[in-house]
Amino acid sequence: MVSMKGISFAYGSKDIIRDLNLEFSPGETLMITGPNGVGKSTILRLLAGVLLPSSGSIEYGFPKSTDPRSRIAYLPDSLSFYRSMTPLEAAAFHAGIFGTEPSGLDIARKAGVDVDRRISELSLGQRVIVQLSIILSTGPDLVLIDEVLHSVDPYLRGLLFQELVRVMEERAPTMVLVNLSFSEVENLVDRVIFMGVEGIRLDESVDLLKAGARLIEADDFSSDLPVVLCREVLGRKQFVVYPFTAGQEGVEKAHPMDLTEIMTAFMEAEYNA
Amino acid sequence: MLDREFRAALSQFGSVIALLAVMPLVYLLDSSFYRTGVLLEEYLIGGYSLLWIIGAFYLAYNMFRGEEQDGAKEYLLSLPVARGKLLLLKTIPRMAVLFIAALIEGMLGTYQFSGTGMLIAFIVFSQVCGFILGVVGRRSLSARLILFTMVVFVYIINSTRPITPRFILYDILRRSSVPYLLLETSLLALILIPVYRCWDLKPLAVRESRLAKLSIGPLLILAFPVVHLFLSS
Repeated sequence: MVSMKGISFAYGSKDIIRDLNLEFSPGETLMITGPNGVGKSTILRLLAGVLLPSSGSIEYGFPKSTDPRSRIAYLPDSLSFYRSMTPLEAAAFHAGIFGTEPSGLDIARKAGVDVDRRISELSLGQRVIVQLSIILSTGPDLVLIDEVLHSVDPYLRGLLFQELVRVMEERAPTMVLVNLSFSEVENLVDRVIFMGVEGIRLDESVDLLKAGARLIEADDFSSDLPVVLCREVLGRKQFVVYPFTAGQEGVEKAHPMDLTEIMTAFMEAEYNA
Repeated sequence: MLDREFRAALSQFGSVIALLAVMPLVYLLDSSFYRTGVLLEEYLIGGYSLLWIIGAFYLAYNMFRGEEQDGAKEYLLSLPVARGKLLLLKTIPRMAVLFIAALIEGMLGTYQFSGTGMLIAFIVFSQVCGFILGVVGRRSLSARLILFTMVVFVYIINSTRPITPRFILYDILRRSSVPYLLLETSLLALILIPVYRCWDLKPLAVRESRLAKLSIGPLLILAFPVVHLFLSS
């Protein structure tokens, strides 16, 4: 169990995260999402150890003698890596540090990556695939992937998800994804954390979220249901309600919503707030 | 990682020493225009000494060049390598290259420092300052200025022999290598330990101001004998 206890973080005098408490169960796959600048990537960086919290602590649940970073695979949105190396050299270097076998770069080869070219000469999508296959080769217990999947074309993205699913089936690591493309990860993630300016606004399992969110179209809506968002589309009012309880008076038709619709509604509500 | 750093140190120092190739040209200019009577051999030896100092600064300044050019700092920090070990991995190869190069300089008959302790203290000081610069950020003008000034001060102190009544304690320390080495490295540790304990990806301005605050004391301590040296000379 990975737990972040009372974490606060500031860039100089600017507070980014205040008193954050989060727990991740072993084998859980979760997505952190929210508007830009609310600290999603900062959470990953804190977990990866590249940022140090101003206060609070992170417990990884790994044996005390091990450096937590030796059990973490971290893919930052900056794709920070030794780009002057070839993928083969980078794989050998990474494995040397972790004391594991170098990645065979199978998915990278499958994606047509020339493993003898410098990483800096590869396309963005190819770099993502090379880096992911290298970091996943160390058998991590915690996988942290920042918002990079959108930069990959659909075919390569398919390969990436195949690789992630393979790792999930083989080792069942805890996986934390920062993502804004909800439809792609809908079937992959178990839990969603939505972050707003004030901190965590929603922390729910995907199943419960989908079961509890409803879109209600009505001219007037005077129920006491918790309305996340109220908007007008083509002259008609729409209400996004969460959590919705069936059998409410005055609600004739409540449409179920998919993850993209729910998250977009939360996002819109956050911007309107 | 150690072999990578050794290769980088050798190639960087080699590129500085390669400038010795210019010395025959300087000699030719001298013999045709200025006629100072300095021999080519003396030019080469003097040039080597000068390039050794430039090499020490160059190695320190470029300690994290690979990471900065590749954009690999975040990756480096995410690796399971303790920060203390990273300090050793980065500085030991450079110190070794500089020490061997200084031994060659000694064989050529030129001595820049007033003892082996002074030499080692300078090498350690300059390279650890290079590490601190890498942690703060090579692009930081204030960090470059602060650390460069400190290394220059240490070079001046370590390569001169002031014996004055006011600095008797200081000179006693200088005569014995180990306590002197400890004095300079403790000054450095005052900056290094807090800077690199907080080493992460915070913005440059945050790291710069932390370094500036921590450097005031050590800078003053080093500046005092240097100013005295200039005044007494």
